[in-house]
Amino acid sequence: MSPKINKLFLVLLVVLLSGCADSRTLERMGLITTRGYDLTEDKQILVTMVLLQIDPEAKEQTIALSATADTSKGARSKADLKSPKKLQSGQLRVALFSEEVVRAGLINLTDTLSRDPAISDLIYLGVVEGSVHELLTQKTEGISDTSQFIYKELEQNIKGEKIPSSTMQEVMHDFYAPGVDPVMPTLKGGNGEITITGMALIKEDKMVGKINTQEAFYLKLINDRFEAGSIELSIDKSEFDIPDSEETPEKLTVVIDTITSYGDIDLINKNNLQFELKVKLKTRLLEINQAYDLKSPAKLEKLETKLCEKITSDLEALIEKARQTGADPFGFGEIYRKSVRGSNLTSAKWHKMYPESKVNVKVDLEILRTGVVE
Amino acid sequence: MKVLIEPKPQNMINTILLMFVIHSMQVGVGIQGFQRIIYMEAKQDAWISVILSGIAAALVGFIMVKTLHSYKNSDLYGIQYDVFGKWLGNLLNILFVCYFLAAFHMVARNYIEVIQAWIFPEVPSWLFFFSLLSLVYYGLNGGLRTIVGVSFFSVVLALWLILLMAFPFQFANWDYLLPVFEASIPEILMGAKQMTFTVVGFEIIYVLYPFLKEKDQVHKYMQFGLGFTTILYLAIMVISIAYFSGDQLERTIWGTLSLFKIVRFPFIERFEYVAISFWMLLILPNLMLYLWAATRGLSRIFNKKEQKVSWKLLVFLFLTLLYPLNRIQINMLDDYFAKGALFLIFGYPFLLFIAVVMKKKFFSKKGGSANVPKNK
Amino acid sequence: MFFKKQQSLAPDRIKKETTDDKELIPVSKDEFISIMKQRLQDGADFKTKELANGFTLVFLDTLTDKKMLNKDILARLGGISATPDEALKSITVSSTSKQKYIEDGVDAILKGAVLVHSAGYPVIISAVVATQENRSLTKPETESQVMGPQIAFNESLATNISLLRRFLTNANLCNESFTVGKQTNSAVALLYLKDIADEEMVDRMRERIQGIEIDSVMDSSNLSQLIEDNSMGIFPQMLLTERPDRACSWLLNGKLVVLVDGSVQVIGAPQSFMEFFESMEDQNVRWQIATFLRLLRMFSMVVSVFFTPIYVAALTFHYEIIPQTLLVPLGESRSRVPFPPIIEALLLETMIELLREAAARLPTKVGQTMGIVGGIVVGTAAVDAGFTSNILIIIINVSALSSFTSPNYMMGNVIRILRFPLIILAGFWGFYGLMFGFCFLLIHLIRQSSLGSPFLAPFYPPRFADWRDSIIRLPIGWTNYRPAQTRPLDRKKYRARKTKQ
Repeated sequence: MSPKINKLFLVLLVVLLSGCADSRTLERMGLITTRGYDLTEDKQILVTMVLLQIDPEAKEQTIALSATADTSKGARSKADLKSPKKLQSGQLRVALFSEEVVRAGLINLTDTLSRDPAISDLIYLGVVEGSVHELLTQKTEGISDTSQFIYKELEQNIKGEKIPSSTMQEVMHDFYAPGVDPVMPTLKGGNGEITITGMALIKEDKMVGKINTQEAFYLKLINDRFEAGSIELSIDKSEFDIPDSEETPEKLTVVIDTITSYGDIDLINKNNLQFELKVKLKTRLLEINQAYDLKSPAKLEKLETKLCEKITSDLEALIEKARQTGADPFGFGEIYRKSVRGSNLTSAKWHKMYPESKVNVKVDLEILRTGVVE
Repeated sequence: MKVLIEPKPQNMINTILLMFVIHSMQVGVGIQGFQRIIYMEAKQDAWISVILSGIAAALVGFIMVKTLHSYKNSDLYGIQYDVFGKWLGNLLNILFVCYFLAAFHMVARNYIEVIQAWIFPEVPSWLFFFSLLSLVYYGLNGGLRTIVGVSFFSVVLALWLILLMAFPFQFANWDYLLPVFEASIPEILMGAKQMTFTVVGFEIIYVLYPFLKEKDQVHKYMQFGLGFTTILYLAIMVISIAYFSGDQLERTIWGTLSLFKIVRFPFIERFEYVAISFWMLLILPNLMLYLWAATRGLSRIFNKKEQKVSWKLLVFLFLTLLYPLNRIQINMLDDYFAKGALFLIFGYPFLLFIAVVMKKKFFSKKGGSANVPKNK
Repeated sequence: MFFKKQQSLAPDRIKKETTDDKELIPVSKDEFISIMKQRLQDGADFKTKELANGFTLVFLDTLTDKKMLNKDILARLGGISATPDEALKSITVSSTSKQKYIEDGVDAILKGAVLVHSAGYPVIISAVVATQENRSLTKPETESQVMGPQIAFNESLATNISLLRRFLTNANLCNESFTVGKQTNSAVALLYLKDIADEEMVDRMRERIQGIEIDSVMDSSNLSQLIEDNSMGIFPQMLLTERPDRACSWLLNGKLVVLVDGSVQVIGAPQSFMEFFESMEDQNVRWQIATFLRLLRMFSMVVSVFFTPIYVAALTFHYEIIPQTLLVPLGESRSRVPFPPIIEALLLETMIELLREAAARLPTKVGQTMGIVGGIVVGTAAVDAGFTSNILIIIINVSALSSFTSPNYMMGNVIRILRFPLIILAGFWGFYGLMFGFCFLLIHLIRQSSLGSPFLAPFYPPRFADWRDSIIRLPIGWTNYRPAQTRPLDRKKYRARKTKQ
């Protein structure tokens, strides 16, 4: 190495060390783990931020800050004035919106979230029935860290295939896709619990309806292929020859656990917008609330048919319910787009066509096993 | 200027390394966000545009090597000088030097733009440029073998990044690739045209050729390198189309980097921070080889020592990089550069090839010139 | 002593010096004695012995073996006529020669010879009766291993060469001798296997050794810095070993070995970066185990160099990348520390280096106590006092531990030092700085060469055939070619083994 290069590197070292990037040392940052958005009466946004307290001596694991402003970033800089640490959203895990906000349209808020390079694409989005501020600031015994609690709760249920996934990537994906609408889980606080009550149906970026968790399961059944997830089905027992007595419940209730499922939508008629939805289920029976002879193949088959009918009608009801609201969380539009050449489908166009569409539902259910005893 | 070059044996490199050089030159900043501009033109058929651009590159690469083969051991500068004479030849040589410098400028600027947009928004860009350029200088000082070594390692050490594409795979919805061939042929061609900025880089063969040891294998490794790049681009394009929904992809400036956003390990999350920093290794060979090519050009035209030229060029480039530009201006500059590259890289080589063939015929009738083209 | 001592000190390459400025041996006895006395600065150990028949013996008392002097020289010279030829015949020492010049006589006497002057002749006889004050051969200390020969070089050049010749009974083993150092006149030997080692490399090495102009060469590590390709670089381009078996395997792979008198380590060149991660033991264990060990060493180098800087970068700039499960423990352990991560890391790294340096300077038993005091007591106290975070202690300890796994002491040192600039870069620039450091190191490594051959071989330039015995080691039947890095004249080591059946 020539002496010239040595000098150069000396200069380089000095220059590099003279200009230091602004440090963001972990323990000096106020790490926002959950953000909530409410609408105030004068149409401003009330942003509630839950910060992770990483002080081992602190009494509370988290602190909640809130501020009102016209934009979410404006609220953050206002909240900065209340915080001993600089607020940072790089560790954001959950963003919650009050129903009011979502009904008014949430795209501006989610767009801000996705525009910020510090925020992960894998954060969960959710809708809160009532006030987000109250939910995040409520003091609940047994829940030391509300934000962590909500995150784990959502994660557990999504991983456990109870409800469709609603990460920001997926919500934004569905929002920008012409033929499918996003869904977000709805949460409800109170009574010392935070419960997932179902899913919010969203048309474009506005909430238009709600489905319960059972329907959310069906939604997932249509959209994804999945492995786990169990469901409780109640069917009329009149057609089964079960001895009737006073004590037994009126309905025959069966809990089945899906081993594999497969949903497939086809466009059968372009002009009439007729779709065919085929759902194949391979299940195992977990529980049955009345004495029923599972040994007999004929009886088992009968149970299968009845369950099929039940699921079919439930699915039809769900699709009808969604169509009433105008939201298409199933992605029928995407099927249309992919099957019809040159459709130039846009979101607006699809939402005009969607109410006229028809869907035939075909369910194929198979009970593979009924447990380790017969 | 001498048309033929006789490099010292210690500067010669194995032809197998050409494969790595070509690939590392093509993969640079373009790959970080090429999906968007292609998708805007060809929609879900963008992957066809990628294939077309790959075929075009293979064809041009073939013509380039063919041109070089007709001389015993010369480079672009020597050939242009020989074919077009002193004035026109040197003018074209200067044009190519300017092209290489512009390419250097674009690569450095785009990379630092990414760094500033994602990681360090508040750090002044001159510091980044200074550190990058000093690395380039250090590498350049080690000679061609060092530069080629850096491109070799930049390919090998970055291979694992491809495995991370498994993460967006989980979110992929293959329906988005359908219906195939919905875009019209002009749209697909427009998409292929938009690939220019991403595909160029293989023109380095024009300058590198005299330093390759086994000349008869140049064709083979050139095409290997180009083919590998095309496959990589194709894979990324297909995954991107399946991962993003249409409008979402059009809004995503750096599609490939956004794909890294969802990579998550038990010990590390938000992998794009690592990937963007790691990208430095991917753009270093670009910078080094472009600067080396420009240096070679100037030193051959003006008969100067390479080390003296490279040093001055670096200072010059540093000064040009200091000029502040915003995103829109950078995009405009990218467009201008792509247009120039489209002509220089995808058009001009054919002209040059025809000129070389004509000249060969012309002179063989006359009885040959001082620089006898190799009879093949 | 285990081995025979009188291995010849190499067929000397005759030094071509001008004979004009040399002083002839005086004929007169007294004049000779006085000249020698003056030349040797009238040393206290300068002894003369005049025999009755006209011989005069001159020697340095401290360098000569009294027994041999009495038995093989004094006793033999008694009853003969005082001529040099007679003396030469009578003396029963293997290494004798005639000298015409004073300078040669001085050289010989400094190497333990007795000069026999016969009055009236301008020629003296020198007979080497040097004492061999040597340590006996011991176990290797810095490169100890469980399997394989348990013997190390010692400080005697002759012994070391004899060890090598024992391991490598081969007439092709060339041994060239040099004298290096204006003041010390140290003997240096260059060994290589003819027909395997590349001539050009031998020439280059020869030139480099001859080209040295220096006062003294005290040790081979000293010499290796003088003959390296780039002494500014941080990576040593030539390796040292104290194991004769390792030196032999180098010779067999076409490498050159340089020995320095008075040094327990021998130099081997050319070397590649991968050689740092190879231990002789790898050849002695099964290939799966050897491969695993090599990968482990490679991995531990990466961990050792980059672990702490990554911690600093992540905590200073990129808190986003920390997974949630690690966030709280990391944050809590950091929350009481008053310094930014870079200071904290540098502080702790320096402490570790202090401990290591202190332990190296102390006797073994005290050293162990040091380790306990430093590692456990100070470490725990530092965390309790909120001085450092306990997670950083773990990280620093892991990287310190990893740096010990390098089978080569020199490489261990390099790894120790490399961490500091990287920590600083990471502390100032986060991952960008870290990557800058990495790229710089990469370019630096690519630029290095060892005796003119690329340092990063077999990776760059890629020689895929050599990968079989570099970062991994394949079964012995597959590694039957010498590495191309040394450009061996004969590539094949042995026939590929017919496996199975």
